[in-house]
Amino acid sequence: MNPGLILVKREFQEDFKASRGAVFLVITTLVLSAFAVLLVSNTELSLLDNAQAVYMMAGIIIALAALVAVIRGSDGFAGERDRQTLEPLLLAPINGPGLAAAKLCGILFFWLTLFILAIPYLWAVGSTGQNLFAAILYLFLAGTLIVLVFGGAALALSARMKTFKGVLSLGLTMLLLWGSPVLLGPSLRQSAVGRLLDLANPFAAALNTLDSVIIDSQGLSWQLLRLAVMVSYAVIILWWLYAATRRLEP
Amino acid sequence: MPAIEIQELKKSFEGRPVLHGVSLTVSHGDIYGFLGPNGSGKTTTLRILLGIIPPDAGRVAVLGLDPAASGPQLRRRVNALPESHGLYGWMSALSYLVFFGGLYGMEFSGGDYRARLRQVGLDPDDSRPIRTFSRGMKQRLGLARAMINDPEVLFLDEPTNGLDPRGRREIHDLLLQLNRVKNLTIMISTHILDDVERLCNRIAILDHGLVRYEGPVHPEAGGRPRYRFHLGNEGMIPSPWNFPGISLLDHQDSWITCAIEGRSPTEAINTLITNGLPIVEAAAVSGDLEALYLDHTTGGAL
Repeated sequence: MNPGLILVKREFQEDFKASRGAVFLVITTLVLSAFAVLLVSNTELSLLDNAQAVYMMAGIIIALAALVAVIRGSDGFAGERDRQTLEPLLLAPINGPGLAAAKLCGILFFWLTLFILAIPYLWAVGSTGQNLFAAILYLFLAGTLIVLVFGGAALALSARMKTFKGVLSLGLTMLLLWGSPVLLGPSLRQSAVGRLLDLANPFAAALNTLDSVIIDSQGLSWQLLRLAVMVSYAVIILWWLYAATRRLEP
Repeated sequence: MPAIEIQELKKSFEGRPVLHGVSLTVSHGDIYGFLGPNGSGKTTTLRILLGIIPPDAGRVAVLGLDPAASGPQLRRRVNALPESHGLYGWMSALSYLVFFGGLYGMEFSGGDYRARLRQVGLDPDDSRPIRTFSRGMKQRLGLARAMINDPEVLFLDEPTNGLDPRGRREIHDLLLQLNRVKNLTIMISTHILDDVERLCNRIAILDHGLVRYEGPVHPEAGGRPRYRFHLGNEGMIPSPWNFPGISLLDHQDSWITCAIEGRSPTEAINTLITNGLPIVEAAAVSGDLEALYLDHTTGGAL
């Protein structure tokens, strides 16, 4: 088997055999369950329409995916360095970008698990409304790009910084900075600065795509610019990750 | 072509020089001791030899290859046991070895992996996670991992650190066997002088980033390790002394001092006993190496 695939297999096994993966999955399920109950009860009380409930659930899933990507990415190299397991990997005949690619695949596998886990919750929240299939499709697309951006950035930081705690602090700060413009009120977001922040922010691009698809029922042509923003970020981050992992140190 | 050649190697970290111009040569089949106080630059030198970190200046060649330029190609032919075990606590010993065998592209059967675990004294049927292993078991597994690609050169950083005397002896015997059977070149970084005396034929003593001594472990005995044997009764020394590889250096009362070459101390003792010498006690003569070490070092970082 190709060494890269062996590394991906180990990342995948670690999610299901080691306690790390189990903890993540249990927490994810609890968070999704709690929000699903809240959203369903609000829909039943006619406080939220069905499309808004699906949009909010999809937003929570995207936020969870970004959070998990940052945690997993931070652990990628810095965590292995802390546990002193990085050096034997560096001794093997595989280069740094190869290791990074395997770790990024591990993060994407986890996102896939989270996505599959989330589908029943989306179904529970939005089965009686419209655009559920489009919501699931665009959630997968936007979620994958967001995981590539935030997971890749955290991995690149992890390759350069020494400790997991340091990378995690910086990664979470980065996530909050990207996430905070989304919390701006509708009037501020309509201003020139708000529009610019929305346009240049991959997190906002993902949420606006879901908003546009689920609530406004707009098609692909409306999403192209926002998808292009996310793809551009993903390409830049992947290049940064390649550069950061060309020479890894224990 | 020597197995390892370093000339005027220099390395600094954040402006602080660690290696000031290290030069040494290790021949094929040597077990080479790399001694020095903490912070003297031993681990940095090993990491440069493995291509993990680049040197600032100087020339480095391992098996004729530049580690910085041909990292993955070189790493197929060498391996190392770092001071930290670097084991995945959630894996079993067998799955850990299979994982690294795969990374090195080794096409072993399940039986081959099991045999390798047995070779280092581990039970291949032990399915417990590695986190439950004792330090000695972890060290053995680390050694099995370091041997997974049948390297031509093996780098060991404190290989017997934390092992009990029996565990240390077993690791010594395994390394000596690998050196003899496979002509494996071994470079050991250690503080434990007993390891050096039992294993190494040549040493370098590093202090403050410079090689202060390079040569045989026992310069006064032509580089051969020396042992003192206590005989059960006096006056039994055969004349002429005719034991190949065992030279009689001194005889006082019921004690003899011998230099041993080309065989292990156990083999030498067995030869002497078989030939009528009633040996009741044996000890390595260690004072010389300790004196050599102290003469060439000034104390390291705490």
